[in-house]
Amino acid sequence: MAKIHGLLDLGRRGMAVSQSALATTSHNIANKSVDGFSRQRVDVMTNPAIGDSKTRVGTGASLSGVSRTNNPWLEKQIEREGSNLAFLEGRSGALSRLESTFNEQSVKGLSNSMAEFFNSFRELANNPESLASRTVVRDNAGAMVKNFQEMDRQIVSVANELNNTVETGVREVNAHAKEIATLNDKINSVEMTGATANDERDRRDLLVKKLSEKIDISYAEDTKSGMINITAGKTGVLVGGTSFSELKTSTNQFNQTQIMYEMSAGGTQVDITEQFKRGALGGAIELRDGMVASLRDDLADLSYNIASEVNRAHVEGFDRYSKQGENFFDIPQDGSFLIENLKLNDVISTDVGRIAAAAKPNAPGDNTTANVIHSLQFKATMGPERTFTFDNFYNSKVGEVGIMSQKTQANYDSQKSILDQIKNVREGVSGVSLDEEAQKMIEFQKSYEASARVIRMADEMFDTVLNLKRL
Amino acid sequence: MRITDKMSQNQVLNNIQKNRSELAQLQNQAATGKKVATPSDDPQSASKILTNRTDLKTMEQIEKNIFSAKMFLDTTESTLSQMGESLIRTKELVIQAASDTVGESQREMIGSEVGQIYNAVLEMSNRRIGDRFLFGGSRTDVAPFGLDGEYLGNDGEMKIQNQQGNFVAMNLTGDRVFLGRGIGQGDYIRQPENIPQDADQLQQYKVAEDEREFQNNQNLENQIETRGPASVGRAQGLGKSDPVSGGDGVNIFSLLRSLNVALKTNDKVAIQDALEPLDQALSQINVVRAEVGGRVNQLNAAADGIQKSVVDNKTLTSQLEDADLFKTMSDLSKSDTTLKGTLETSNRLLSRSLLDFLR
Repeated sequence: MAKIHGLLDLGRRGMAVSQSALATTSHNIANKSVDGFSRQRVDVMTNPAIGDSKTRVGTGASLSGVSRTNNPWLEKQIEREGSNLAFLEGRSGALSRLESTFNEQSVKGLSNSMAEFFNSFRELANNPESLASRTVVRDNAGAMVKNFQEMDRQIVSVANELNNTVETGVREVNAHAKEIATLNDKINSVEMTGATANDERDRRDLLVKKLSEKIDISYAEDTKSGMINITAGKTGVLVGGTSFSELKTSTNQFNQTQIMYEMSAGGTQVDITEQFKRGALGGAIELRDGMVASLRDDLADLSYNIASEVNRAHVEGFDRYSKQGENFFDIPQDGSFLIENLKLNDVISTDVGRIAAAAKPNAPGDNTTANVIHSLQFKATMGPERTFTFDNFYNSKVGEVGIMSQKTQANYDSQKSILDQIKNVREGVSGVSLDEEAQKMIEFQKSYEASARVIRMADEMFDTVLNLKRL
Repeated sequence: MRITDKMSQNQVLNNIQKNRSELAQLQNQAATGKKVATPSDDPQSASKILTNRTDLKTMEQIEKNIFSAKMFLDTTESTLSQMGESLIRTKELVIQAASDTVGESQREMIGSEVGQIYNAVLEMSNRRIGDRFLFGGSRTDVAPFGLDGEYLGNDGEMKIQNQQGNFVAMNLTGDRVFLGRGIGQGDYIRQPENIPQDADQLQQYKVAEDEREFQNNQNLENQIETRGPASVGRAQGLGKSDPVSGGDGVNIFSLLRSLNVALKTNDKVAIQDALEPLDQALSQINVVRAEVGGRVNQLNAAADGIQKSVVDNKTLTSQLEDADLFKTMSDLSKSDTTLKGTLETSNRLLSRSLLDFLR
């Protein structure tokens, strides 16, 4: 048979359970907007009944634990898709900068200055005697060289920006790895007692997602200790239980920031840049070593070809003083060509009379060489098979950048909607609903009140019992 | 499905952002009138637009070329028409002087008029446009004819691009017009029609030019042997084929000079003999004038063609890059309405929760 004491105790336990439930509800409400938070629920367990076999009376409920509502499979999906999105995001920013370098829709760019360069030779052919048209040739040539150098500079600055992305990305990765190692330790010690480290796990899940947004990782949880081990790329062990190691960066001879992994503390560093194909850093590295590098080479090719083709014709000509022409552009002959070193021959920039328009001496009106030079504009001299004109070649590059940027943007949009959808599903499972919490609040408040009533009732019952004698 | 607050917040935010970015893009189109603002808007068009623009620039430059070549040719033509008039006047004078009714003193008077005509023709042959001599070939900086009518220019033609890959010479060389060199079937070799297109062809061209010059000089030397004192003096110098020019053109200067001498020495036979070469000289001028006319026609045709192409080019570029403003505007108002709707419904979605009804 139940005792009145039992009733008091029952009421007290009921109040405690309701109080914990209310605390959890408040915890949920407070963390409503925290990234990666999973709503928590108290697990209430019915206490074992007491009494003999026929009259077993229940002894109320007690707290068995607080658990989070979380679907690990969804988290894994978000981690994957988030990594893909970050890959595209890492590219799209730099690509649009690259695109604006090649954008001539509203500003005058290289295509324009190439056309003007060749047109100034047409004008020179109209009037080779004129100092004015010679000056225009020199100035337009100078403007074209400047334009090449400006574009080259901008491409380099995009590459530097990507280097910067790698640099700061690695720093973030290291910070996350460190925090994950700390959380591993915490989770291990909390869960040793049999509890679940809900908030720590939420935080760790979030950090893993963030890591994956930066680089390729693979990870696995040790079911016994609850700790996870993370490998960056294929070989870089980032987190192993409670210990972690840092990724390093170094700059190679092409001025590219590479990701290094230290085999042992202070030991030899191995270049593992190649292993990163996903995440923001994977995207940045692929763009930097792929398109950005090749565009820069293409631009150098183009400027070198223009310069050397013009030179080849120009040295055949005769200038205003009936002297054999010299090189029009100053380019190194040993193959070490860099756009930034391209310039007009000093002889020509100081005296435009040295521009060779004629094909024979003592013929100031002869324009044969000028005609040859402007004909180069529509001559197929570019590409391995020499099938493209200068303009074709450049315009196809503009198209390439445009297509790449367009594709990346489209992929980014669709990837973003995929991720948004999965995140929505996750919010549906793990997110906090205020309506729900309000309803729970009322529910637990009512049970709290009711449990208090039970205690009062028990108290009144004591009174009744104690007053029996007096009656 | 369980709907949580963050879900609805994200949804609202995403929708508003989608509407806004659509609106921003349309606004940009409306403001610039261009639907291709960056290569990624339409990569194929962007690269086509660039090609078009370069073509347009080239065509505009070629229009300038044509204009400057036409100016050169027009000046040449007016000079040649004056030349023609002078020769006709000479012919009149010669017919007059060839008559038996004319006496010695009159012939001398006519002779001095012919002398004046010689000077006038010399002046014409040394005419300039700007500071370039018209008839000096590509040697435009020195007067092409000396006082005795000796040629100091060269036979270089200045070729002007009048279409892509097509060139027209804008000058007539003085040796041809005034000395009749290379007019007929003489052994004189003229410059090739084609011009070199690249450095290798330029090299070959230079070699060919050197060879041609050498050949021509050799031919000239061979003829000079036979020339003797004919350039001044007797009427035999007026012969059909001028020994200096080689071909069957007429050396107008020596013709006039010989005529002058014949008139002053009252040499009636020589005067009569001069009539035929005079006619030839006239037809020689007409031949080159026809050539000028032909070139001007060619240039005009090219200019017409280019004007058409310029219009086509601009139309095509506009089709590729310009936004359809009516469409943009209607899209704009559509997007605007959508955004308003989104904002209004967001207000309802976000502000309500169970807590609002628990008092």
